[in-house]
Amino acid sequence: MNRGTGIKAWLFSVICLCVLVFAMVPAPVSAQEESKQANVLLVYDSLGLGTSAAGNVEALQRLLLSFGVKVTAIAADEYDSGMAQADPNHKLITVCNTDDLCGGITHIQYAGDWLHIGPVPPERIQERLGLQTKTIARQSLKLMVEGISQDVFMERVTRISEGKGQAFGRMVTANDHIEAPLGLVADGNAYVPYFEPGNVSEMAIAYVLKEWLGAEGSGQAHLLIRGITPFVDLDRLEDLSKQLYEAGIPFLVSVSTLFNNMDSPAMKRYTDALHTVQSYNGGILVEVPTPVSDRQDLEDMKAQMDHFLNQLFEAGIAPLGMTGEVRKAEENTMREAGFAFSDTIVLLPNEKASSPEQDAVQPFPSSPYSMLGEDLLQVSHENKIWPVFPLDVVVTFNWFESEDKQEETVQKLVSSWLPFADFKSGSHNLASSLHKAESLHGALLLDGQPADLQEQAVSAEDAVPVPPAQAEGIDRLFSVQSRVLIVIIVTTLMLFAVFLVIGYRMYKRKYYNSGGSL
Amino acid sequence: MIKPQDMKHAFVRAYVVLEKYISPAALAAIGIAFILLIELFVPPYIGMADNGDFYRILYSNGLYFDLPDYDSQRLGYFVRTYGIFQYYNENNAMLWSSQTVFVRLSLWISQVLGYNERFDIRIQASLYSLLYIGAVYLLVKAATWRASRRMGYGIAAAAVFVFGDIAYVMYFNSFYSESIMLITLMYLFSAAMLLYQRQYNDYVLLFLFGASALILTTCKQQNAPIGLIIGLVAILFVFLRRERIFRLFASLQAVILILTAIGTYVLIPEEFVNINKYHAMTRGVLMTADNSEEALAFFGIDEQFSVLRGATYYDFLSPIPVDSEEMEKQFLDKYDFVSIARYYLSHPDSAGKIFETAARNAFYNRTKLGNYEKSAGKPFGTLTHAFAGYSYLKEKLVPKTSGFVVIWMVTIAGLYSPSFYRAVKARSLRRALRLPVILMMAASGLCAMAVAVIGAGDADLSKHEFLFVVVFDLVTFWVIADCLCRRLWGANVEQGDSHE
Repeated sequence: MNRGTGIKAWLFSVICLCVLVFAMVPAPVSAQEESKQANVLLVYDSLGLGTSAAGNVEALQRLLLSFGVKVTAIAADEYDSGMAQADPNHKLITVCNTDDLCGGITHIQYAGDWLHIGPVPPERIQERLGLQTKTIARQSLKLMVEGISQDVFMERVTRISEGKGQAFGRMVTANDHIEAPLGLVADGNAYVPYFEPGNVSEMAIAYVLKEWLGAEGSGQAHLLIRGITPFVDLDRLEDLSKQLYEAGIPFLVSVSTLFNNMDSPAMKRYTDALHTVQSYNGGILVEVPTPVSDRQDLEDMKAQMDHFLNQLFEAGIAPLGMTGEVRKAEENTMREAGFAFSDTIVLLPNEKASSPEQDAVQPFPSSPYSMLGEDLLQVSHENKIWPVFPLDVVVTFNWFESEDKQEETVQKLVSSWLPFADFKSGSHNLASSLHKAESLHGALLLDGQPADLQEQAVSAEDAVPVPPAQAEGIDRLFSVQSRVLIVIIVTTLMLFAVFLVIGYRMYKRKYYNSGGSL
Repeated sequence: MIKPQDMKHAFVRAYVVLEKYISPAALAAIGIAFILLIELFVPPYIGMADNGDFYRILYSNGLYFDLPDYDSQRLGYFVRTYGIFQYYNENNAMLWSSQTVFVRLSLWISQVLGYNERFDIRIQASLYSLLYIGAVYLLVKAATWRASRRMGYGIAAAAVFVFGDIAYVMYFNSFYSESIMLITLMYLFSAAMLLYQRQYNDYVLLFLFGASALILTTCKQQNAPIGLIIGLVAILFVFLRRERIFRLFASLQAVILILTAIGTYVLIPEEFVNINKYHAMTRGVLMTADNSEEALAFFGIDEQFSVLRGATYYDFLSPIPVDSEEMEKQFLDKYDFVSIARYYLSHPDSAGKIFETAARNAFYNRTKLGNYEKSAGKPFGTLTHAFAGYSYLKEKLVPKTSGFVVIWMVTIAGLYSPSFYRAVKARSLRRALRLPVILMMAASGLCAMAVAVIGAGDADLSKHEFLFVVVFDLVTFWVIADCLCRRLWGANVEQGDSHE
């Protein structure tokens, strides 16, 4: 072998080795996650508006996003057979809210993982789960899951009379005490006969979804007070913070944004109150506002949001996430202009019912599931023990209309023994163009430094003086000038009219005196 | 090749024919009709976009928005067709207005013509156009009274230039009540001046004046004070003639007008629309107050609402939705038209500032609402510039200060005072009528200006001050016509009277 051939052989072996190494090195994490990310196609027959099932499709959408799943929601009559792909990363959920409209769903042919919710389970689900169902009408039922229970009255509901798989929750008829599971899961197939948001079935389906999606870990509960605007009673907000702090309940507030008059005393009072909230171990989330129309430039919204966040930061407030209606998460532009500031998003139910967009909705890095506090406090729990939640939950209350209501709710929260966790113990980040807030292991950092959690000492009135009646130097001078001129002109015109009349009379007199000849 | 002499002869012949067969008033009417035809009935059709007010007049009159993307066209595009309810209309009258009569009449015409499912707003525009042509005819007829033929044609051309301006005629292709205000105000003014000139039958003119005043007063709640002013001037008509029957009619008319004005005024608080109410505070009181928190305290509103200073109802983003219950209970329910008027009366500085703002905006005839249909392919909110010469000149030339408004009013009053004095001295009420009518118009304009700023702050002023805009144009046009025809001092009139 000559020298040249040796070099060639050496080079060849080096290249082979490199290729081998590249082939063996794992793909970048994000790409890997992307390929592994579960996609769920959610097919519903109707939104069940005007019925007790209204809102269940939207709640499912939020639950799936909270589990980190990409969701595509579509009405059954829009469904095309090619839409549901039978591969390990794609799953199908069908929701039947109205017996009469279920036809489009029961005829779906699908070989992958499938969860059906509501009456009339498809044949494949029936076969795989060995399902037998019965319909019961006008009965009181006790719904139970993981130690929590609630009595509900049903006009009509489907009950699992026979089936195999892992059972979740129970429904027990009040008359004959017949028990049936609230959900069954086996080998990627699952069936939930009944799901309505606002009662124990909402919690039950969260457990079913966790198992069906193969999600791991458990969740904690956080308390969120919604609807904090500059116009709420800020003194009462501070009192509430103190009450919750003294009761040992960590909490969050969702605050509305403000875009004008940022330097006003009113804005200062608002930020002072939020600072006080923060000093009582309250976390701040910022609510993404709803634009009045979709015509305006969303870049403008992004800039205004950024400006507001900077104002908060400069007031020593470290917001940890954003909140907003789930429909906003469906719009790319709103995600970009509103939610993009943070990795932690709490998706709230839509104020007005609307059909979900057909485009796939990407999950957020962290998105605790929001549940109405009023609903959750209605459930009974054994021995004051709450179950371990299947995912992170944010228990929401709207801002209280009166002090009495506030007192009553705080008392209920204290006596509920619901273990609320400190939001700051998780990892959350929010960044504006100039500042950054983050939390980790209970510490709240603002631009990398521990945030000031002391109560603001300076009052708004001291900090921002109310502009006094302005001595508008030149303006006032011109105003006086203008008034003087007006008076002069008016007087002149009046004199002009008087002279005109006098002149006319003199002329006439002269004419008469001259005997008609001038 | 046409020779210059031939052309000259042709012109002369044309002028002779014109002089013989077409009066200045008829020429003005033809000119206006031509502009209306081109602008409103030939594509691309010109109209006005909805600012959110249309639904109140539409739904209570059996019409609805049938375009799926109507909301996205609001403010930017003129919409020509609307759906006609095919079933029982459960919408109660949201707004008590004389405009209803015109909308229902147009709807009836549409159905008679066989358009039962969709209403084309051009039907309403044609109804308004006919009325407007008549109004311009009467105005020019009055303005060219005893003028030379040549002068008459000049005045007619000026009338076409001013009143054929797109800022006026575009309202006909919309559901804004401004179109009715324009037409009725013109009839009202012309009828009063024709009464003064005794050109037509007094009974007919009295009826025309009364009917116009009634429609004008009731077409918009904010017109109630104007109705009262007109009603007071209408009392003068009682003494125009000695016949008992005339005096009875004139008295009855004056009483009806005053009662109608009071009745319309009583309705104001209930119909003080939230949009205007919001602006009255955020774009009026708060913007003119030296200390907005003190101003809010006057109304018993939480000082935190001072962050809304300068905000508009249409702001892209708002701290809380402007139509929310919270806003309603904590803010909007705390004040009304009367309390705002009281605030301005007790705060002259604020009143002065808001009047200055009103004056600054009182000479813009155009609004920012789009004039083209979406199908015309123009960008959102595009305005037409055709036949907009007068608006443009006015915007550029007129000084926009409160001082100018005062000077204008004083000058007008001063110019007509000598003739008024002489007429009073001569105990001729008819000859004395001109000054009160002019003052009635000026006072109505000022009143409209005050109502606009008290009722809606500085928001959308060019639309809210529409009545002042029309009054200014009508009176200024009239004064110039009087000057040109040498009628200002009344000598001409006396001469005329002596011939009768």
